[in-house]
Amino acid sequence: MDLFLIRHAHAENAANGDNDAARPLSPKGRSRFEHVVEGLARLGIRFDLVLHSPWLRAVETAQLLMPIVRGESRVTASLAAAPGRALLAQLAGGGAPIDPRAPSIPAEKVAAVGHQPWLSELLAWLVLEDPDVADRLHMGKGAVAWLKGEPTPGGMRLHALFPAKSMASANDG
Amino acid sequence: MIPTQPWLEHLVVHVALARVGRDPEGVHQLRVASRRLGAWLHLGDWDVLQSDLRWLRRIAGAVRDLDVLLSERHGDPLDTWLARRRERAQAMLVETLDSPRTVGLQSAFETLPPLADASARANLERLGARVHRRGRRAEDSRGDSDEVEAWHDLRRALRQLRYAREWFELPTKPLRALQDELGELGDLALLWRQLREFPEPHAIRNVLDHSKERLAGALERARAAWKMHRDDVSAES
Repeated sequence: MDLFLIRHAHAENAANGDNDAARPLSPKGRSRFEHVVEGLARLGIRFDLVLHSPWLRAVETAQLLMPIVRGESRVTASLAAAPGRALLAQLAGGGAPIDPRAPSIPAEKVAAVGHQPWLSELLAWLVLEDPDVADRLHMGKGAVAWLKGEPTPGGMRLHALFPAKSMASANDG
Repeated sequence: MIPTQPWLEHLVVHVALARVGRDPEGVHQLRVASRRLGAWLHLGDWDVLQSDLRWLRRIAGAVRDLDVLLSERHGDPLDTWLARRRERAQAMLVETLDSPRTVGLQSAFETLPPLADASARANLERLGARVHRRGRRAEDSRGDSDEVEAWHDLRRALRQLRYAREWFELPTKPLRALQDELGELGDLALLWRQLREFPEPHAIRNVLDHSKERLAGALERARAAWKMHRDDVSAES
C-alpha cells in the first residue's frame, strides 16, 4: 500500500489557557496547504481513506484534502497520541470493518493526518523499526511523507518526503 | 453563530447509556444526536466527520431496528431469533463505542468552531430543494421495485431539513407531521427486511402475509401524506 503521513498545516498560536486541541489553521497554513493538495493532485494521487486526528488543526487539514479523497475520512484518537499497535491496525487496509455489513475498503492509498512528535515517531517506526530515532526524520508543518510497503514496524520504505514549502513553490513553477 | 451544544452533550450522555444497553432510549437518542450533528456539519460545509457519524449510526441502527421490532410481540420462534440478533448487535455496538474512532469523534466535535449564520442559511435552502427533488422521485417511482426505498430517501431528506431548521430555531411542524407519516412505512419496511432473513420462513408465514398487507397500506398512506403536505414544506422552506 501507499501510505502518506501528513503533518497538519501551520496553525494559530494558543493564547494562555486556551485548549491546544482547539487551535485552528492560520490563513498562511491554509493557503500553503491548498498548494500541497494541488501538488498531490498533479501527481495523480487520490486517497481511498484519510485517517485524521480529532484536534481542530488536523480536522481542518483533512477537510482541505477532501477534494482528492475518493473514499472516506475517519477520525481516530490514535493519531493524537504516541503511535501504537492500534494505529497500525487502522492503517492496514483501513482496518477490518467492525460492521460485517459494511463493505471493506480496498485502501491502497491511505493518508494519516497527525501531529509532532508522534508522526515522526510513526515514520521512524514504520521505516527504521525504531520510533526512538524520530529526530532523524523531522516533518515540518504541512509536510507529506510518502511510504510504500506494509504498515508494520520496519515494513515500509520512504518513497518521497515533500516539505509544504517545496510543494507550494513547485506549483508556482 | 451556532455552536454544536447542546446536541454534542446529548450525544455524550447517550453514548454512555447505549453502552449499558438496558434502556432503548440510549441507542435511539444517540442516533438522534448524531443526525442533528450531521445536519450541523452539512450547514457548515464540513465533509469530514460525516462518514464517522454515518458509521456510528449504522452500527447503533442495527440495535435500534431490533428494539423497534421487539417492542411488538410476534410470538416464537421469531421473537427469540430477534432477541439473539439484538444481543449480537449490542456487543458490536459496545466495541464500536469503545473504539478510537468514536472517542476521536467526540473529541473532534468539542473543538469545532461555531457556524457562521449567513453561509449556513444558504445550505439550509439547498436542503429544502433536495426534499422536493426526492419527493418528485418518490412520486415517479409508483409501482417500481424501489418505491419503498424512494419514500425512505424522502423521509431522510425531510429529517435532515427539519434538524437543520431546528439549529436556527425555525418552525418545523409540517415537516414533523410528514416525517411521522413516512415513519410508519419505514418501520414496516424494516420489519419486512428482517423477516425475509428469518431462516425458516414457513414457520412465520402468517406474520409474513400480515406484514406485506400492512406495508402496502402504509405505502398508500405515505403517498397521500406527501400529496397533502408537500406545499406546506415549500411554504416553510
